[in-house]
Amino acid sequence: MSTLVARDEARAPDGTPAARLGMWVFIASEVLFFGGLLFAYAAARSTHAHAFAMASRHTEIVIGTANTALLLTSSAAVALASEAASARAWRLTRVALWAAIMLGATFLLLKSVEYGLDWRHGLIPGPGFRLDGPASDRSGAEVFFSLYFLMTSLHALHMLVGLGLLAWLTRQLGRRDAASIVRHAHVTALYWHFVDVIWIVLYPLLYLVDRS
Amino acid sequence: MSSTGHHHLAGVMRRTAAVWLALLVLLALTCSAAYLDLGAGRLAVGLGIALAKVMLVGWFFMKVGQSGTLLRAVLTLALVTLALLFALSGADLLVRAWAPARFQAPQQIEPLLALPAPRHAR
Repeated sequence: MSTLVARDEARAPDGTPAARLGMWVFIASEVLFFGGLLFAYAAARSTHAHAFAMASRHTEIVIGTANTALLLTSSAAVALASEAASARAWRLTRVALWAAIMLGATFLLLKSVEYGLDWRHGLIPGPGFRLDGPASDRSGAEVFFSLYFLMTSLHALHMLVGLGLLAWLTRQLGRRDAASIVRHAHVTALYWHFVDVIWIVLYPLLYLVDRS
Repeated sequence: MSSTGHHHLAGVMRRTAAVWLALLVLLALTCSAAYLDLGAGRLAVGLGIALAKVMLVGWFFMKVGQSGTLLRAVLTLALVTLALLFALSGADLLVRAWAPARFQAPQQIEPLLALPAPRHAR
C-alpha cells in the first residue's frame, strides 16, 4: 500500500489554501444555481400568494422539521470532524464522520417517505394533481409543488453527492498522510455546510408559508 | 496527543455544541412562529431566522470570519451577483402585464391589456 508523501499545500497569494478557495468558488456558482430557483419561487409567490399559503399547509411539516434538525446536527458533526482532523484526533474524526453520514442518510430516507406521502395525497403536479381547496388556487398550488419538488430533489441530489464525499473521506482515514486528510476534511466539510445552508433557506419557504 | 491538545479539542467540542443548540432553538422558534397569525410579517420572521441560522453556520462552521480576503471576495461576488439577478428579473416582474405581480397598480396593467377602463374618474 503506497503512502502519499506530504506535499506543501498549494496556497493563494493571501495564504488561503488553494483547495479551500476552489471549493468556495464552486459554492459561489451553486449559490447562483439555487438563486435562480429562489427567484422563480419569489416571483410565483408574489403572483399566487394565497395559493402558496394554502399549498404549503399540505407539506409534511413533521418530516420537514425533523429533517432540518437532522441536517443541522449532521453539519455540527462534520464541523467537529473537521476540527478533530486538524487536531489529529483520528478516533474522534471517524466517529463524527460516521455520525454525520448516518444523520444524512436518515434525512434522505425520511425525504423518500415524504415524497411517497406527497404522491399518495395527489400532490405531484400533472394530471393526477388534486388539492382540497378553492379552485382558483389550483394553478398556483401546482406551481408551488412544482417548485417544491424541483428544489428539494435538487437539494437531495447534492446531499447524495455529499454523503459520497463523506464516505470516501472516512475510508481515507489511515490510508493517507495527515496533511492530505485534513485538507480533504476541510473541503468536504465546507461542501456539507453549504448543503445545510441551502436547506435552512428552503425550509421556511416551503413548509412555513402560513400555518396559522 | 498532548494534554493541551485535549484541552483545545474540549473547547472546540463545547463551542460546536453551543452553536448546534442555538441552531435547534432557532428552528423551534421559526417553526412555532409559523403557527402565529403574523400576516405580512411572517415572511420577514421566517427569512430573518433563516438568515440568523445561515450566519451561525457560516461564521462558526464554515469559518468565513477566519478566511483570507480572496475567499471573502469570492463569497461577496456571489451574493452581489445574486442580488443583481434578483434586481434585473424583479424589474420585469414589476412592469409586465401578463401574470402581474400583486403589488402592481391596476392602472399600470389595464392599458397594456387594452381592457376597457373602469368608470371611475382618472
